[in-house]
Amino acid sequence: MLLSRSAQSEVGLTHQRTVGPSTEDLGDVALACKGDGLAFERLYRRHVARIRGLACRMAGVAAADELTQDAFVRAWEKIRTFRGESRFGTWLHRLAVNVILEDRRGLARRRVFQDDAATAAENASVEPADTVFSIDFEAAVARLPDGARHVFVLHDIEGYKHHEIAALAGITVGTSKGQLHRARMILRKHLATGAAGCTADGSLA
Amino acid sequence: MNRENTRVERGSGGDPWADRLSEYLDGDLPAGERLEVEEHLSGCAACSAVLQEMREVVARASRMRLDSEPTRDLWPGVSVRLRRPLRLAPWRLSGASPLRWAVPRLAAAAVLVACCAALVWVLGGRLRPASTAPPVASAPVAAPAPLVQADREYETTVAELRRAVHARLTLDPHVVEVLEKNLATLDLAMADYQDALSREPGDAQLRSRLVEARDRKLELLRRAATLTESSN
Repeated sequence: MLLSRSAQSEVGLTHQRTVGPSTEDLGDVALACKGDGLAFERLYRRHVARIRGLACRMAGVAAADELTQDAFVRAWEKIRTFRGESRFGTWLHRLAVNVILEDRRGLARRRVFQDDAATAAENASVEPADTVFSIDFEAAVARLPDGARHVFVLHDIEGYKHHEIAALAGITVGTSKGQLHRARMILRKHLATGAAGCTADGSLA
Repeated sequence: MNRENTRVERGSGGDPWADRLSEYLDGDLPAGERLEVEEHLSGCAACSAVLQEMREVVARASRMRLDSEPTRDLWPGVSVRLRRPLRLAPWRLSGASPLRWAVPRLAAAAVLVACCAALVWVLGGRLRPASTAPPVASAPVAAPAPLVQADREYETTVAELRRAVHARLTLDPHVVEVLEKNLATLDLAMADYQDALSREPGDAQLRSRLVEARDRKLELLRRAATLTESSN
């Protein structure tokens, strides 16, 4: 049976997906804590693609660059709080999740004052199955409702557990599970619709 | 089957089986509930199909690329926002000869000049027309004086200027923050120079650098005091 990632973790397999080098990071973190900007730039270079990938999926490509920069600025400000209890990449990743979710919450508050129609369009769920034949899986993820997308990205793509997501996003574990279920139910329609165009390796044509 | 499908499609809308498929898939259900779901799945093709599709979704998610290289270099946009001042060459921690730090020392001096110039530019730009703000880079640097004799006068002057700035403090909080951070950077540099001089008292270059850093600090404080006066 194919186990989801959280099920894998329960049997001792991987948890959060790889977050980059650790041994190289330790020396640069120590230097960056003393204010060494060059060391921090090296950390940035090693991890920027990972953080931008997270930002792309959580907030969309348009906001990804700015959020990536925000995350590294926050990391510089907070780097002295890194205790080495986890990999630096893991610490940075969680910090970036916080930065992104904070930004999204702020955006949601601002949207209260925006035009309802525009807001509804931005939040639109994936279109009905018969009109999305050409939308690939990545695009389908991007079009999930915000809450469902955030939980799906963190759980099924990034490998966080529900209790971790709940703590990061300020929601209950039950809400996290509900949003994940909602996302999977929406996304399975895309796979079912695209099945006729599947290639031999299972990817959508 | 259709009835089952309808129940599943409602998702988390209350269907007791559909709502548990994700948790079942993730191994989050207690043993008793897990057995119940498995028993149901053995007789419900629709729920089994949904479960299989969910597995495919999870598998697809696990194969998604995590990295996304920026299409432009984002580092410049990060580096300009790093507020905490960079620490200068820590020769006092290493115990090595100050000569080893000749290159970092020069680099640090360049940073100090840039910091001061930038701060004065900010001060000038916020509090008076830019055209009236003289560039700090062209400000004359006072001739080095004997350090010991100058110490007391220097400390007194710094204290007076600080009092003058804070007594008439009407500067933008951000400007004040930048001012304090640059002053802290200069203090750190001077502490390093003094420490190095205690080991190499004959090093003329170190003496010159220390005097220059002191002059920079005085110039910065004088400038801030002048601007607080002019803005009142």
